[in-house]
Amino acid sequence: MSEPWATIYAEVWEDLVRYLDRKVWDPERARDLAQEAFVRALRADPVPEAPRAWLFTVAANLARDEARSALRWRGRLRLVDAEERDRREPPLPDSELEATERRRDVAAALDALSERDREVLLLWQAGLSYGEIAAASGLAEGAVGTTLSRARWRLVEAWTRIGASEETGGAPR
Amino acid sequence: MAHLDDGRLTAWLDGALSPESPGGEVVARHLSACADCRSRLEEERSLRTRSGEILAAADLAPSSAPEFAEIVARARAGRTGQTGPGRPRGRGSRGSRPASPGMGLAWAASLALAVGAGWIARDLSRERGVPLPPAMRPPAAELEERAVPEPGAAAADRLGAPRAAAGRAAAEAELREETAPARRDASKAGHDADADPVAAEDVSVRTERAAAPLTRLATGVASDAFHAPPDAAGLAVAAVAGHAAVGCWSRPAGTGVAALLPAIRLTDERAPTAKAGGAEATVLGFRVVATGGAAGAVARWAPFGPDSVWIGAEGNGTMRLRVSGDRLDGRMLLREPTRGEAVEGAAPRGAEAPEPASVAWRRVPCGP
Repeated sequence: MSEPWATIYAEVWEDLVRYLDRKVWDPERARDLAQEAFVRALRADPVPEAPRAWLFTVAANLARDEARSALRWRGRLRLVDAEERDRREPPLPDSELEATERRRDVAAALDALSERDREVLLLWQAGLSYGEIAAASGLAEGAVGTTLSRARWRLVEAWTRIGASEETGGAPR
Repeated sequence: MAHLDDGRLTAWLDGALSPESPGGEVVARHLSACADCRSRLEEERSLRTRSGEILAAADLAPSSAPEFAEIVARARAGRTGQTGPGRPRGRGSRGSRPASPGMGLAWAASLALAVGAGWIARDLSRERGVPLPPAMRPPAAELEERAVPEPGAAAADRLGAPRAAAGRAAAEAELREETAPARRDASKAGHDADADPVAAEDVSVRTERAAAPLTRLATGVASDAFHAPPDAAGLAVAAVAGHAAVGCWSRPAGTGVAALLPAIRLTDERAPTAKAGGAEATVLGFRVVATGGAAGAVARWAPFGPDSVWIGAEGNGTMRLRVSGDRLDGRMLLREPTRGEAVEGAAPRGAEAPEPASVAWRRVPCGP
């Protein structure tokens, strides 16, 4: 039951967590979802042909389902006194602030991409091959190169735009 | 000779085209003969490097992986854990009803602010404002269509109509006040509204120091997308002399997330600029909405017509605010997350934001 997952686990865990973190922007949650993805992998019978691609597809679905289900509130919203909240959550130290802001900027840059471009880029970043990216994203393998090229360009472009806007105080046209 | 397209160059660069394959041979041969394509290959390479660096900027310190044996044990135990997807769930947000009464999956709250004063709620569902350029139309049209299942709309009306009279009166009174006492007066307006029987939750006014991550936005640096940290709950309306801002946040129920709305400060100088073409706004801050405890959501905003601002939060909700004279009217919808709905547009520039400490926040009920 464990093979090939045991090997894949050792190789891919960090990449999978990072991949999920780029979707849910929460490292704790990303770890939970990554574990969940592996649990499902271990239960998959038979073992899928492109196991890493399958794993990342499952992870992407988990992240997406999570985002959807999060909207289904149960019960009434409970208002929290802002003072109470401030007491419980002291302000972040500068180093964390910087990281938060950086992540915010990366998220914003990623958000400038189309869903497909973003997905392919994240899968590449996670170390998947073109064949695996095609399998996980549904793209034809021949289209992966074009998509990646465009995605990288858009990301850099968006990042530049964000950086420029922060310097001048407004997004440039 | 025909040059190599970006896709093939990239595939070659990424090692997806083996030199032995027919496709690879073509590329290798062409590259050896074509300096242009060689330099384009280097461009692709540096694009790859650069985009990798950008993505890496979001990395946090990695933590150790759980023992694989633990995961095996979980898989064998037959429990899928506490994650959201394991629970039975409905599909889509339209038309489905929540388990608990009174809480729709998507709900609309109409609210409007008077600058420097209390607030007025008004249902804008039938107002479309000026015709929009086609590029800006789709999100709004989608919002209006996808809006609100019955409970939400009913709640919005409940929220809207009865408060309107009290709020409007308070607002008009406020507008005649000096700016200096505006903070105190805002609190009076708040208490007036409190007396309204429809106000279901605690409403209070206090001076709140904005959380540190907001400071950057509050200094007048605006970007057209930003990332919200998780935060507490409620609907906040900020009234600052000469400006209005609104933010909404909700406490997550369990691992659920609620609504992200940015707090926006609108300047009262609506000098049209070449870029914004109308209302200027600076994002002052924002509140919760992280999905499943996520660190935040990305929100975008853009000019929406000559006098309004559209704010969309990825994964959560949107709010459209219209500046009308010195009033800020808005409608907020909470809906399922979709990507790519942000409207491209310049981020308007705003004047320096006031010190966070001078912002007076009012909490009002959020949602039905």
